[in-house]
Amino acid sequence: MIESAIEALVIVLDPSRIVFILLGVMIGIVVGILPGLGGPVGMSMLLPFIFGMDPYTGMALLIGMVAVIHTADTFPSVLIGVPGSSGSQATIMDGYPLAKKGDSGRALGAAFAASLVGGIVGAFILFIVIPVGRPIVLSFGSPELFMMSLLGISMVGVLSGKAPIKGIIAGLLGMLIGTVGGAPAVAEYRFTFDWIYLYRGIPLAVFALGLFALPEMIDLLAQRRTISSTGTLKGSRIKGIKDVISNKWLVLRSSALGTLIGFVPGLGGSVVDWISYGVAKKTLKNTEGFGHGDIRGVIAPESANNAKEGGTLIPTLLFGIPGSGTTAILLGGLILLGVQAGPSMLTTDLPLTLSIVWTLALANIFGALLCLLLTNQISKLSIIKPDKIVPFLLIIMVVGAYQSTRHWGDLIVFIIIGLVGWSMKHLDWPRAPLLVGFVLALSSERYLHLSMSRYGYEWMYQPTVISIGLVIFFIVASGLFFNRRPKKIEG
Amino acid sequence: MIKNQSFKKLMVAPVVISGAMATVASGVNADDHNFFSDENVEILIPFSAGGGTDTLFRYMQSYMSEHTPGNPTFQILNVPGGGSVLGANEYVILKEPNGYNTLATSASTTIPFMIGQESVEYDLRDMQPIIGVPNGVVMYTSPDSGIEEATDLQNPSEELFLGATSPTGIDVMTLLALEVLDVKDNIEIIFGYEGAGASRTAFMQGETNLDYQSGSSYQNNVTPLVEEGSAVPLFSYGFLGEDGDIVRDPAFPEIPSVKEVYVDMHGGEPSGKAWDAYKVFVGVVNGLHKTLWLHADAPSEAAEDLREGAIATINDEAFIEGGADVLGGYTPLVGSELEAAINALAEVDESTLEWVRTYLEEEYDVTGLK
Repeated sequence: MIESAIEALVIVLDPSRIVFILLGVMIGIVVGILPGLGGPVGMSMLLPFIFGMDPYTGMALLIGMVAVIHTADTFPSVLIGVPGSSGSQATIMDGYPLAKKGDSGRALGAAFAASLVGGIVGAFILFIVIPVGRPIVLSFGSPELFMMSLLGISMVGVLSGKAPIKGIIAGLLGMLIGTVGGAPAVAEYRFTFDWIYLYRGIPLAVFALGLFALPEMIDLLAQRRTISSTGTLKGSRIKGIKDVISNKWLVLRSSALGTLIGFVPGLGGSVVDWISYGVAKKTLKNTEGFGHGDIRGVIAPESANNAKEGGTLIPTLLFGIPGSGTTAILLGGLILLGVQAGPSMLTTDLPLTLSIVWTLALANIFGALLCLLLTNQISKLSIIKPDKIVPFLLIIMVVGAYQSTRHWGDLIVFIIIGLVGWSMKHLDWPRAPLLVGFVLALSSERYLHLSMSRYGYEWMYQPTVISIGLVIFFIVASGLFFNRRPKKIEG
Repeated sequence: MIKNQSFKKLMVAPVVISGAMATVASGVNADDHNFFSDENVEILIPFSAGGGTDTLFRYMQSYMSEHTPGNPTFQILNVPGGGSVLGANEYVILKEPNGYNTLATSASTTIPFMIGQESVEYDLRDMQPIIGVPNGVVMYTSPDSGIEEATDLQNPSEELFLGATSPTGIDVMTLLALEVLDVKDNIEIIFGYEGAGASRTAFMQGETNLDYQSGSSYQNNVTPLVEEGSAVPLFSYGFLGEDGDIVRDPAFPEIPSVKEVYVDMHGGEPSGKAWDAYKVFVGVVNGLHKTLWLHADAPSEAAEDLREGAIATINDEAFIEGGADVLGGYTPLVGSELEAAINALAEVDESTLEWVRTYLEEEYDVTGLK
């Protein structure tokens, strides 16, 4: 393995391939920064170009792009409060308040350093797991996948802060909205009112952008303030990097968690950051500041969502089972390059597999460095007056939302969800549970249906199911319990 | 005689002029292949990027571009959703029939049309086919199901679980096959898997012990399993031969077809409504598994040029060799073979389709069929 790894590194370090990694990184940064675009969009853009390339170069380009999206998507999340991609929403919770205090440099510095470490950890875990990954991937059947979805949903309680009832209702409402469209198991359409646009359900990008981005834009204009309330930029990136070093265990834990979640196909990359955020909030001390600008609330999701990419590649490369929308397209790219995902990735194509691992690590490094360099320039966005910046941002967001299906329904849904999000914001209802419920509705229903069809009720007795169930129970119980304590302190 | 001479002189002018016009006209015809020069052709793929249909046509893109007169650039537009029905609907409703918009379909698009799903707005019998890629289907089982060959399905010793997606898509062929063989009641069919990839995963995980894959997918993904002993091929769905009967899949000559299995199980030749329906579906779906179409009312010039491109593409050795994986060893259909396959679709007996609809409604509680 080691010789093959070194051989692969030599191949990757070939100058012509480095060029492609850098090209991929730059495209990934643009895709990450523009809200509403995400991995699948970037992949579809690059696919036509890789045809005819040799596999190493093609992968350098594709992986280079994928690795960096979750590094660069922090820019809009921190600076504007708008998710740069679906994996970056949790970062907004603490990153945006930091920017409002004028501390955006610190938030970004910490985020990029965390992303860097997260990406490398993800690549490293990928490297270790590959030889032994097959049995692990195979052990995640429908019951286990259902329990993982349930785990994601249980995060709702944690994310609700002090109002668990509101959080639960929001989560349930989110799940209800998630059922719009085709049913997973039967040829039925729900809540589509015969409008062809809704047959596919509400696209995630539209939902997320509407829920979080539009309310921010409205408020910025209404309150006539710049994002940074102090009007100046403070906060050094170095401080942010130091924060990461002093929280190194958090970074490593979150990265490992991110890789694990990415590895479970079907869970969806868009909950990785929430789960990591929720777990951090539960397991760290003094987390009352979470949601108001605690730097750890930035570090945890950022390391997780970069590490996730390494995780999603495990089932993708070993089995040809895509772990996310991005890897689904990556598989198509592999075929175009003449490579078949599956057992051959460990035998005849091992050098290519290892070159993918190296590219992932290298791209994360390049990407983080580039982003750190660009921080000062891009941060200036947060001190521009709202009446200049909001129209510009609104157009980018609307175009981003429209990318989902290129149907005017995108715009209508965007506005409606945006108004709902704005109301929730001002009525103090937590929006994160709404999003989590929405994202996990389809997969949890599908896997529950499959588990019941296949096993009746027996699947509930399997050991993995029970262990995940205990974790969920623990999380929910401590969430309810935890919420009683502040009242005692106040009383 | 003078009259004749005058007459001849009179005649010369019109003749010369007509001859000149004819020459000019034929001169225009000679470089008539201008329809696609400097143009873009869009291929609407009603699936998300990375899937089988998407990969196939992305592979074909550059060859078609090279070989189609005018050398247009082919661009892919992915419109997933509704099991490919939505994208196909969008093509016929929203895309202009100007000859620059094409549609790629797969069996998942064809079958809802054939069984008359209400949401289908397209009529494949109207459209102009450009190239079709056949694909077979193979059913296989795991070694611990106790099934060693297909006839064992009649008396299984273990519970059999088959992973499927929905009784309105590509699975219809499987349902008909099982009905023909009369083993449906011995198998628990689990619907709800997100496609053939997911059901294959479930098979590998041991969640199901029976699965089927398209020929190209079987070659790439299941053959290695067979070689290492964790999968056992049972039968192929076969193809419709020239005499209208089911023959073995040419890509899997050693695997028996459904027909042979029936004969082994029940003694005589298969017959009846289910069998007729099965043959129809195999003929249309396997014969034309993935197809590229042009609108019915698109200019015939466009169809001609595209078809020329298609013929040249499949005669290009590099295309066939480089595409071994995506084509799965099947030769694409163009020209008269393609015509014959399309005619089979157009000539499908309405009463057979009626029977299939009733069958699906009664046995599988399907709703929403016209």
